Amino acid sequence: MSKEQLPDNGNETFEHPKGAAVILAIFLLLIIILWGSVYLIMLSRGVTFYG
Amino acid sequence: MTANVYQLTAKEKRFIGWHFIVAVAALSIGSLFGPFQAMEHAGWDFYEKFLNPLFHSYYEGLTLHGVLNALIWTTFFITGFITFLVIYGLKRPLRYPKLNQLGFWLMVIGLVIAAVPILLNQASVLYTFYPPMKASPAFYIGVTLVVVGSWIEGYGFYLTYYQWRKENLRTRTPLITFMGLITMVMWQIATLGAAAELLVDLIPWSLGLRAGLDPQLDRTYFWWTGHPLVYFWLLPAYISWYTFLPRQAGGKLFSDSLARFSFWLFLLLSVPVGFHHQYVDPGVPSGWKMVHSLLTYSVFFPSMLTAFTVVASLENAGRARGGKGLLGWLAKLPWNDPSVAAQLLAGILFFFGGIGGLVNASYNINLVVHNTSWVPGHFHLTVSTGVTLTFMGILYWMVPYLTGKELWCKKCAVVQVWLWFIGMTIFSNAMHVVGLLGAPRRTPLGQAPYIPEEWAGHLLRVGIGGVILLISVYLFVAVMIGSVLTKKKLSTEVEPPVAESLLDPQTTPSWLDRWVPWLVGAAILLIIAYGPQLVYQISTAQFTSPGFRVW
Repeated sequence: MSKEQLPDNGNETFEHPKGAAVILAIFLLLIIILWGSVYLIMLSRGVTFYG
Repeated sequence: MTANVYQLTAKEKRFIGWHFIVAVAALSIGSLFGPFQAMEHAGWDFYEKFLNPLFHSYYEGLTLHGVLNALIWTTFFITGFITFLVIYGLKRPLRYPKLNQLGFWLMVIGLVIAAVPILLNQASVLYTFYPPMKASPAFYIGVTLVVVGSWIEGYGFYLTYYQWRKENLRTRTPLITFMGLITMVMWQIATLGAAAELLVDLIPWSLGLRAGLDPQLDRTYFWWTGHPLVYFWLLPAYISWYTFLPRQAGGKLFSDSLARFSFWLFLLLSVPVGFHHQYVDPGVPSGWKMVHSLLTYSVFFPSMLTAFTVVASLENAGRARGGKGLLGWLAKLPWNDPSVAAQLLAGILFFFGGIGGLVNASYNINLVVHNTSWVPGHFHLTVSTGVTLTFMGILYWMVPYLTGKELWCKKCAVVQVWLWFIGMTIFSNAMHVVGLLGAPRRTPLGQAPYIPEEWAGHLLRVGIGGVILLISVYLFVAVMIGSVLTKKKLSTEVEPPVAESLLDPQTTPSWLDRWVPWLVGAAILLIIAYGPQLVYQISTAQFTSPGFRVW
C-alpha cells in the first residue's frame, strides 16, 4: 500500500482510501441494479408511445 | 482538563439534557404506535381489541407516531445537540442563554398544546397536515410554537457565533459549530413554507376566520418544508459521522474542506426540491417538476462527498487499529462500542435509503412507488435508522458526558442497536417489496378487503420487524433511564470525541468559511426554483375547499 506525505503537516501520513473507493464502487453498482429493477417494473406495466 | 478544552457548566449540561429528556420521552411514546401499525398490517389489530377507547383509531396512532417521532424527537434532540456544538466548539457560553431558554420552553408549550388535540382524536391529520383534512386549531398553533421556539434557539446560536466571529476574524469556524449553524440556517429557510401554510392558511381556517383554502397551494407550501425537513434530520447525523465517529473509531477526519464544502452544498440544494413530492399533483406543470427532479439529483453530489469522506475516515481509523487489505479494516472498528456500532449500522442501512431516494426522485419511476408502502419503507431507512439510530448512538456517549455517570448496561445497548438493525431490515425490506406489489401507504391494510394472497407473507414480516423494533426502542429507553438513575459515577469526565482533521483546518480555503456568498446563492436558487410557480399558484388560488374530518 503506497503512502503519501501530506503537504501541509509533514509529520502526518495516510494511505489512499482504497477500501472507501471499493465500498463506493459497490454502492454505485447497487444503485444501478436496484434503480434498474424498478425501471424494469415500470416498463413491465406498460409503455405509452407518442408520435 | 487541558487548556484548549472548554468544560460546559452544570447549568449548560442541564439545559442540553432537558432537550434530550423531552426528545426521548417523545420517542418512547411515539414509537409505541409504529409497531401497532406494523402489527395491524400483519393482522394483529391492537387498536380495536385493546387500545380503544383510550386511542381511537389507526390514524390517531399514525399521527402520534409521525408527530412525536418525526417532529418532536428530532427537533428537541437537534436543538439540544446544536446547543452543545455551539458552546463546545466556540469554547464559550451562549451569548444570551435566556433567549435560548425562552426558545426551549416555547417548544415545550407548543408540544403540550399540540399533543392535547391529538390525544383527543381531534387532529388525526398526520404529521404532514394534509389539508383539506381539518384539525383542531390547537394542533396547528402548537406545532407553530414548536417551530418558532426552535427559531429563537437558532437566533441565540447566531448571536453567540457573531460575538465569537468578531473576536476571531481570521480563525476558521470550528467544524462542529460550523455544521451545527448551517443545519439551523437550513431549517429556518426550510420552515418558511410551513410557516406560510400555518400562519396564512391553516390557523385562520381552523379558527373559522377563513371560509376555505386551496389544497394545492398548501401542498406546495408544505413540501417547501417537507423535503428539507429530511435534511434537518440528516445533517446532525452527518455531523456526528464526520466529526465524532472517526475519533470514536480511533482515527481522524479525512478532509475538513470536503466536509465544509458538502455542507454548503446541502444548504444550497436541499431546499428547492419540494416538487419531487408532487409529481402526481395536477396543479404543478411538468417542466417545474423536472427542474426540481434535477435539483434533487444534484443533492446526490454532496451525499456522495459525505459517503466518501466518512468511509475514508473510518478506513483511516480501521487501519490505525491494525486493519489490513482492501476491506479488512472494517472488522477492526470498535463494534463493541454501542455508540460506534449504532452509527455504523445506521450508515449501512442509510446507503439503501439513499438508493430508494433516487428512485423516489426520478420523475418516471416515482410513479411505480408513489403513495405505496415503499415510501414509509424508504423513510424508515433514512429518518428512522440513518437519523434515529445515529442519535441513539450519540446519546450513548453524550448522556455519560452530561451526567458524569456510567452508561448503564453497555451490553444491553449493543444488543439494542443490533436489534434495531435486524428489525428495521426485516420491516423496511417488506415495506419496499409490498409497495412494489402495489400496497398503498397510510392505510390500515389489516382491515382492507382487497389484500391479495401474495402480500400476506410480506405483511407478516412487517409485523415481525415492528415487534423487534418495539423491543429495541424500549431497551434504548431502559438504558437511558438506567444511565440517568445509576449511582455509578465515572472516575474521569467523558471528553467529547471531536475528531481532528488529517490537515490543519486553518489550511481550509477561506471561501469555505464565508457565509454571505452561500446564503445569497441559496436565496437565488430558491427564487429561481420556486418563485414563478409560487407567484402563479398564489395569483390563481381558489380558496374554496371546506375542511374535512375523515377519521
